[in-house]
Amino acid sequence: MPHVSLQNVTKLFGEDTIALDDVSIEITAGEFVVILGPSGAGKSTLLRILNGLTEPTTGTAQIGGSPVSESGSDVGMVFQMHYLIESLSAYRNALTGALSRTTNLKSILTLNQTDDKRAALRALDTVGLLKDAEQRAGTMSGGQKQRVGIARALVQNPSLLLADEPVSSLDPKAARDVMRYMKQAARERELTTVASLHQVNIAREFGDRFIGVRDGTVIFDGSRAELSMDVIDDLYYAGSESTPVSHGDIEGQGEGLTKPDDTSVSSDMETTSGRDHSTGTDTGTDTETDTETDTETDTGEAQL
Amino acid sequence: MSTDTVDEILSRIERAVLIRRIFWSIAVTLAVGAIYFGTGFLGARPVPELIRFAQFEFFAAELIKYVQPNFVDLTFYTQNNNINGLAAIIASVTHPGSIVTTISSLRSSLIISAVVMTLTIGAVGTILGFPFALFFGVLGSERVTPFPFNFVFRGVMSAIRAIPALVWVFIYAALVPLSPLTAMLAVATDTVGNLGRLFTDELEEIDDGPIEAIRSTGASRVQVINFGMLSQVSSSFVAWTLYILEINTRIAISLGVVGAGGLGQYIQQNLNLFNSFRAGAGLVTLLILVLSIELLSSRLRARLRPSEHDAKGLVQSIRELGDPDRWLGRTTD
Repeated sequence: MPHVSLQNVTKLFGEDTIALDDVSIEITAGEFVVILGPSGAGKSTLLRILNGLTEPTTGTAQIGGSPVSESGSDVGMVFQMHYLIESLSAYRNALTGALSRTTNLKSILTLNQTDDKRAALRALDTVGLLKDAEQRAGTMSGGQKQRVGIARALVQNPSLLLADEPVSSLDPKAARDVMRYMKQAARERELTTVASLHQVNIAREFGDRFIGVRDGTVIFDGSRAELSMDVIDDLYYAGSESTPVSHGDIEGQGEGLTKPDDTSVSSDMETTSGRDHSTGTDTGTDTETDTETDTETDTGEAQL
Repeated sequence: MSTDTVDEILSRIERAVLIRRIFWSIAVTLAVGAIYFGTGFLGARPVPELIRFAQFEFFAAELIKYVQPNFVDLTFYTQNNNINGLAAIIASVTHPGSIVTTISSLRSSLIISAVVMTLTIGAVGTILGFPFALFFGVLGSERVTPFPFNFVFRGVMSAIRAIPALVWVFIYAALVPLSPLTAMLAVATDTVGNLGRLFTDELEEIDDGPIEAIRSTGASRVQVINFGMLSQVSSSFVAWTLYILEINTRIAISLGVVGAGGLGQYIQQNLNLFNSFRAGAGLVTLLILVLSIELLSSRLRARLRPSEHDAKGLVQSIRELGDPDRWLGRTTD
């Protein structure tokens, strides 16, 4: 039985804006799923439906066999802009993950249970921030804030971890760090994880299963080996008025410097990709990814 | 557009400048006209006639008295020993026991007692009004209470604001005879209307993100309001409260003028008795009092208000108040 199941989910905004069109997805427990797709494809709506923040117009969303509800604390969410309480410490931010287990008065007076306090510190340890627990969130770097966001989600003791473009506002190194910690946390706690990502190369590096969404429909669902450059081209550039960039360019912007769907920076991609190729800065440890991207770089250059 | 010559663009700019000048001339003419007809409507006489009737000599004589303040009413000691002028200040400082008895005497006829009374009316009135302002202000926000219902709370605050503190003091006078206590109740009521409204406005401007994040943890409604909303604005709330404290001190003075005790009453009584030298002492004290409170409050608020890229915790903001460099505007970091 799948842990997460979406059955024929359609979401309309207003009368005729279709965010999701008859989407059915099943995810088994413990999977690390990455959702890819251009802006406005419906990635965020998909995650918000899983989280209960948005109700589907038709169709059902179930987690662990029961329907999703907004008040459920079973789903942890990591947001694009971290959304921490900047005036509070990392520890107290992580502790907000335990709010559903604490009474109103006790939470306001910070009289949390010792178990929850331990859980908050353990979660900060998981994301490598235990020694910074007392630092105020507002003074942390973007990557650290996002890791506190992960810790907050972990304190909820969720069975499903959602991440809505968690690294899109971070520099490549911080982005990799955040993804590494997230993956590690998911593995340690056997969490089912669904993350939407913009950077194709980071997605490749960390995802186990990939779901491609475009115009509200799932157009790809497969493993890393199946996620070819043709699929990515199809996902991001098919039907758009902009000229598709070559595969080499996509690999080049793989350092996360540009977004694949942002056509206005395509001229910059040329220079970026050139530099990356000459210095060979791909630090990925995953050999599978490396070989794949290498071959594709070749074909890309052949096309050029 | 690139075919435009320099001359064409220049003439276009000059035309725009000309239109702007015409607009400003019309605006200034309208403003002068409004003053002329407005003052005429309110019964002002033409300027030459005004000069003929005005008591310039009397006015000047009174003004000169104000700048020679007589502090004979500063404390019991100076009043009993009839120590006049600025010498009374020195005499009071050298007899600190008299200052203490003066403060505890609660008499508007003694300056130091009147000052303490005014400050107490302003400060305790603010503290008394704060929890109610917080209650109405938070519940008046559309984010906390859904649309039509939040207007119940906003309406109460609007009604309170519509009636000035000067009127509230007489409404309460039916309950408690006109006294500093009535003034304190009037100040507290006024605080609910004004401070509550500032709280509501502050809450309308907060980010949705943290609210959504807290909601997604499965938090209850009260927890979402406390952690998602109020934690974003705690520093601003303290800063606004200090601003209202500053305003309330001035309101306390004006309430004294209508007889509710304090420095306002001292000044008003001496003006009525044409004790202009003594009234001058009251005015000088008032000036020092208001200026120092404004200065202190504005510096405190500047320290407490978080800037966009540097959100501070309330406790840390207060801790940083001890740093003299920050007070003087020198930043060490």
